[in-house]
Amino acid sequence: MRKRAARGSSFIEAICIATVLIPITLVLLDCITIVIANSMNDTAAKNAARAAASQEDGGNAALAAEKAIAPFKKPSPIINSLSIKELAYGADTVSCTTTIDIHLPMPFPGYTNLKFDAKDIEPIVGKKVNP
Amino acid sequence: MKIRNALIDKKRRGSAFVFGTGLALVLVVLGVSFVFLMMYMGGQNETKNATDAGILNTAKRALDQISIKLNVTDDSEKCFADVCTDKNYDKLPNFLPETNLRRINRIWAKALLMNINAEAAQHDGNAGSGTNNATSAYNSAKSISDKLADKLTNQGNLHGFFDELSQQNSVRMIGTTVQVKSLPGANWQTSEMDRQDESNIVLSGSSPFNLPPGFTLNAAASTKCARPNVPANAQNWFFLKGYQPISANGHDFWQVPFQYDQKPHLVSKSIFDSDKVANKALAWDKPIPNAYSAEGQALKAGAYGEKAMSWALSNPRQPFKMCMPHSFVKIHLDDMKAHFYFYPFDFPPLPAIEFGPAISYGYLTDTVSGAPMPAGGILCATVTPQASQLVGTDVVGRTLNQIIFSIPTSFGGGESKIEAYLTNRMNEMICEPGVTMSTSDMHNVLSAPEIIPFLAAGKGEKDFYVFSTDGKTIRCLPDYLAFPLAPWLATEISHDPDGTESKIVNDAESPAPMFSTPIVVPDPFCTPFMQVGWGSWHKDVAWRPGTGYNSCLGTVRVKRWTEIMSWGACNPL
Repeated sequence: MRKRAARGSSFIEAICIATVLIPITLVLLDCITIVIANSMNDTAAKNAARAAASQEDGGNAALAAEKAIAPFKKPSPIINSLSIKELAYGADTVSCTTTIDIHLPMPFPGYTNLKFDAKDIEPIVGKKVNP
Repeated sequence: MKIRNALIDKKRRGSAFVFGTGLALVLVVLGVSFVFLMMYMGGQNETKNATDAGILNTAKRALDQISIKLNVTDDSEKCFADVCTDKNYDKLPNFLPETNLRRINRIWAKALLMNINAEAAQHDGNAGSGTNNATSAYNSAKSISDKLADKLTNQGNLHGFFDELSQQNSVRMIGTTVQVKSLPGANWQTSEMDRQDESNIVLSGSSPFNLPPGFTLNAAASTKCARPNVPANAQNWFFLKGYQPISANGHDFWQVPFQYDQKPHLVSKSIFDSDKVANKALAWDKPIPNAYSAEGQALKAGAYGEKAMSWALSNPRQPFKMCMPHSFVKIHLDDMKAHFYFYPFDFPPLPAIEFGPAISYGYLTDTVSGAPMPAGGILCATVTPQASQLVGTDVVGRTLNQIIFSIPTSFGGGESKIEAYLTNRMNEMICEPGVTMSTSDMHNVLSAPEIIPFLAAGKGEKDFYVFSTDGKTIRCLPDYLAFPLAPWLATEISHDPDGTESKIVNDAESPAPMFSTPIVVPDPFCTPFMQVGWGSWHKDVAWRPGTGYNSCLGTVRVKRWTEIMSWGACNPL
């Protein structure tokens, strides 16, 4: 009778501990995913801005920026999409904002997908001076 | 016993909770640490990215924003005003010249060209004051270059360019309000990279680069584009070599290397460091750097900060030609005259004697009549050249090219020397990279039919000016037509070349189709037995070189004249 009671209480303890540990682990997993996704988005924005900055005009800059983020667009269970939200090819600088849409590995109600923006500004080095 | 067992059970149950709580704490700590580590690494990455953007902006801005003003009241600096522009050629004079990293090679190249002209003139023995002028130009180019080097190596002048971009880039993984700012110190350095590669100065054509006769550019001074895949339009171009002493007129000239059409870009620390003067000596005592390093710091108030370094190589991506955009050659035509010669004491081919005033004629046919010469022939009372003799048939309707180069021509090949000088000078005026003037092009410029009416208008001395209106083409026109096309000429046109004149074609002679019968009045008791007249055309061409120090690259002076011979002789009765 005592042994049975002990087994029961251990089971309850395990459940209690699991109810705490599992959510913590899942939240941490989501946090890590968010940080990595943001880092990836930063890199994509940087690459796109730098590629655009190496072009002579806005048209080519847009094409180059799209090409630069193409490697980040590979199918993934985490990343729903990564796209250029805004590309401003100005007189001296290029500003590129990219948006990453991620699917949380352990979604919580109301937080299944998250979107983050990253912005990078680079000096234009591709423009020539007209003699 | 019961109590002991109850305690053991309670302990067992408690240890599971303690273990579970401990594990949860460890997991939380590990997880949070991992997140922080990721954010730290991300922050480091963001700091590095912002520093990269900052140094690229620095390498780009340093090309144009750090400048040296030239003193236009000093002739030795004013002579560089025409190359203190980003345009290959500017029609207007530059009253506020400034140079910078983009333009400094143009100044060195123009100084080199002046000194090349001076050395070539020395070789010909007619340098005059050109040698001193060219040396003044060298001293000024060096002084301007040294001032620019001082500014570019002063990190305080670069911090602003760095901050301009680095601060705009987000380092949100460190903090949303954090910015990357320049961190002054020993990590802001400069380097002299791409040594022996091309500068942004293009030479005229291929070796010997249309330089003046008598000068040979050292083979080590020029190079083709050093890039592995040379852009198509630069495959046949030769450039001055960067960080390589180029000698002329006893001075060493320098260029900053800028690979053709290469963009400012980041470089590795190892290459940057290996090319620093401290690690690889350079004979240039104050070199202008083409690469820069910078250190930035993202500092969160009251917390940790992150630092990053970047290295970048600058490049204006703009080639210029070694040229003198605001320069000209003057072609001076002396007044043409008919001279009258007689044989009072002898007979041809012995020397004749000139008598009577020479009569001017123009570039339209004209008739001239000489005065009678008393005792102008053996046993003659007077010899009078036939009246109204036709002159100017050698120049009427001719182009300037024909006036200079056509008959009479010299036996010594003087015309080919003039051809070489003029072709060289026209190439020095051309400012468009890749455009050259051949000897044939030079003749075409001087053969422009629109010059003929200006030649025909009136008698007397005439001046024409050879200059460029756009840096690509050359025109030859009188001053009043040249000014509207090249307004800069107005302030320069009065300058004479700084060399001395030497006659290249000396009295080239050609028989003229002029036959006449002089009027012979015999001495008493004598009777005429010879009354023959004929004519000949003559030409001198002189070259006076200019270094270009005062914009004048030289003067070609052409003197043409006609000699009318009258031979009269009598026999005693």
